[in-house]
Amino acid sequence: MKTTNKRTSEVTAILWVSLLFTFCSFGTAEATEPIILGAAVSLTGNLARSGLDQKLGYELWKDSVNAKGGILGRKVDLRIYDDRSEPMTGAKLYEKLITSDKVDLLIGPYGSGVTAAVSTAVEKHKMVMIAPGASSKEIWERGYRYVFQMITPARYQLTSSIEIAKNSGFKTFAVINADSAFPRDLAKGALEDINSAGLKLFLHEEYPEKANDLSSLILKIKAAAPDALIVGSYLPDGVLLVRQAKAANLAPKMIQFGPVGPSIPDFVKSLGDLSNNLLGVSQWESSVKYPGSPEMVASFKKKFPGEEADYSVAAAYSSCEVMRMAVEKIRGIDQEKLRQAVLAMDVMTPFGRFKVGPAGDQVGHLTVLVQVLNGERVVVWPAEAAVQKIVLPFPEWK
Amino acid sequence: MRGSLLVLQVMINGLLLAGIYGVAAVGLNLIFGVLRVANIAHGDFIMLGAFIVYSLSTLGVSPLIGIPIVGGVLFVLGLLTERFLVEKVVYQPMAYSLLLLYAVSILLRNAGLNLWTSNYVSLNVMPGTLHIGSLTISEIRLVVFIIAVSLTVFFTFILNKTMVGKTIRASIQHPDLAGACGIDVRKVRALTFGVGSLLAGITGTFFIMLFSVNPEMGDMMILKLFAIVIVGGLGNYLGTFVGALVVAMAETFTGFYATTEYSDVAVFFLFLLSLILRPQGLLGGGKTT
Repeated sequence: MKTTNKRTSEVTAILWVSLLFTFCSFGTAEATEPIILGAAVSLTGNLARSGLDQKLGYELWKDSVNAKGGILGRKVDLRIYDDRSEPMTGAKLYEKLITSDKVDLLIGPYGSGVTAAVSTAVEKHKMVMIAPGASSKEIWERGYRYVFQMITPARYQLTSSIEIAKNSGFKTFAVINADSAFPRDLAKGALEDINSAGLKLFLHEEYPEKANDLSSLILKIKAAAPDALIVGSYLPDGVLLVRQAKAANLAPKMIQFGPVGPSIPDFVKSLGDLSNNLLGVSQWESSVKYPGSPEMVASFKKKFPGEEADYSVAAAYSSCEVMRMAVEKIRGIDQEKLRQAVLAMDVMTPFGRFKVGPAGDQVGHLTVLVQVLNGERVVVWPAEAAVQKIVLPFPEWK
Repeated sequence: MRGSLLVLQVMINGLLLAGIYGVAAVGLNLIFGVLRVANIAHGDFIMLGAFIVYSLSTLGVSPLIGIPIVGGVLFVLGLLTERFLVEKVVYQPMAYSLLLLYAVSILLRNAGLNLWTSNYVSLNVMPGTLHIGSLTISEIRLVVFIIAVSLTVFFTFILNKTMVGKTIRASIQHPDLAGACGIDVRKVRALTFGVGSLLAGITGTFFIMLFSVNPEMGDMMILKLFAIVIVGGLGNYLGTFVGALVVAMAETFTGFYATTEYSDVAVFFLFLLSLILRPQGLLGGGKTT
C-alpha cells in the first residue's frame, strides 16, 4: 500500500509540474486567466476519508461557481495536493502553493493537526486562509491574523443544547466526559454555558476513555437526580454508558451527547432501540434548509452518485463561498483587504452562519441537534432545519 | 435510593463485573498453570471470538447460538497454535514464549484489521433490566454471570472428578513425574491451550454484547487480566475468580466513593500490594517444579 501511494503521489507530482509548465507557456492576459485556489488535503493516510470529502466539496463549488460565470468575470480553478495526513507535508505543500505555484487564494486542509502546521506557513506569507477542517481552539489562540475557522469549535458545540434545556424548563445538570482533549473541551464549554445561564450543576465527573464499567458513575448521577445529563464521549464509552444507564434505569428529562453519539450512524447501529430519544449534535446534516444548501446537496448527488454529502463537503464548499463573497466585495484579491472583509462578514452559507471573532475563530456557526426517533436519526433543531419536532422530556426507557 | 441500598447496588454491579473478568482471565490462568507460559495473545483470542460471533450475526445467526460455534473454532485454533508453535518453546526461558506469543498477537490483530477494519462494533442482545424493589440488574450481565459460574462449576468438576482432569492437575503439579507415570504431557498441553482459547472465544462473545470492540481490543484488557490472575494466584484455577471479585469490587467501589478515574489506580495498587505481601496470590499459586 505504502509504495503504491508513494508512486501515485510521485506520478501526481510530475503531472502537476507538467501542468504548471503548460500554464506558464500561455500568455499573461490577466482578465482571462483563471483565479486559482490552492489547498492540500489528506487523500492518503489516516485522515483520507474526510480529506477526500473535503476535496469533493471544493470541486463541487468550482463547478457551480464556474457555471455562474466565475468570480469577477474570471473562471475559477483549483490546485489540490495530497498531504498524506502529515502536518509537516501539509506545511511544505502550502509553502509550495504560495511561493512557487503562486496561487491567488488559499483554502484549508483537513484536521486540526495539519491545519495547525499549515497555518504557520500561511501566516508567514500573509495569505488569507479559510479552514473548514479544524475544530481545535488552540490554533486561534496564537495571535495569527490570516487564518479563519469555518466549523463550530468544541467550546460552542453544546451551546444550543444548553439553551434548549433552559427553554424547556430544565434547571439542574450533570456533565460527564471522557478524560481526553476533545470531550474535555466539549464539557468545559457546556459547564461555562450552564454557569452563565444561571443554571445549576449537580455533578461533573470525568471517566477514563477506555473504561469498561460506568455503573458507579451512573449510580451517582441517579442519586444526584439532575434534570438533564450532558455527555462528552467517544463511541465505545458512549455505547457502554447508554447500556448501563438503561440497566440502572437512569432516565433524566434530557440525555444530550456531543458530536460522537446519536449523530453517528454506528452509534445507532450498536444500540438499536436503546438509542431512541437520545440527543446529539452535528456540525451540519444534509437535510438542513440553509440558503443554498438543498441545491448544493442536489448537485452533489448528481456529480458524485453513490457518495454521501457529509459535513466536510458542506464546510469545504461553504469556505469557498465565503472566499467568493469576500473577493467580490473588495473586487480583487489583495490579501490585506481580503482579511478585513472576512473579519467583517456575517453571512449565511449552505453550511450555516459564518461569523468569526477578532482572533479568526468561528463564533457564528451553530451545531444542529440530532435526535433518534423510531430508530432514525432526525434533525430536530434549529427550526429552519428541523425535520421533526424535538421529543422532550425524555420518555422512560422501553 | 437509600444509602445502604446504594451500597448493595454497587456490590451487585461489582459481582456482575467479576463474572465477566473471571471468565476472561480463567483461560489465561489455566494455560499458565499447565504450560508455564504467559499467553499475551489471550486478548487477541478474545477478539477473534467477538468478531466470529459478529460475522455470524451478519449472516443471521443469533449471538447466543453463535457461542458454541465460536467455542469449537477457538478450541481447534488453540490446539493447533500449541501443537505447532507454543510446544517448541515450552520450558524454555520466559522470553522465548513471550516473543512467540507477541508475534501471534500481532498476527491475529492485523488479520482482524484486514478482515473487519478498525471500526468499533457491538451487538445488542437482551438489553432488558430486572427490577427488585429499587435495585436493578442488567439481564445480559446476569446471563453472562450465570454462564461464567456454570463454566467454573463444570471445569472444577472436570479437573477434580475426571481422568482428564487428573492428568491436567498432575501436569500442573509435576510435569516430569506425570510424564514418568505415563501421562502424555504433550497432549495435555495442547488440550489445555485449546480449552484456554475456547474460554477466550466465549469471553469474546460476551464482550461484543457488553462493550464495543475492534480488532485492537486485545491490549485493552490483557494487563488487567494478568493483574486478576496474579492477585488470585498464578496457576490457580479457582483463584482467578477470587482475583476477579477483588478487582471488580475495587473498581466499582472506587468509582462510587471516589471517581471512575481512580478505579484502575485502585486495581493496580492492589496488584502491587499482592506482589509485595502475597506474591503467590490470595489462594496460592499452582506448584512449580
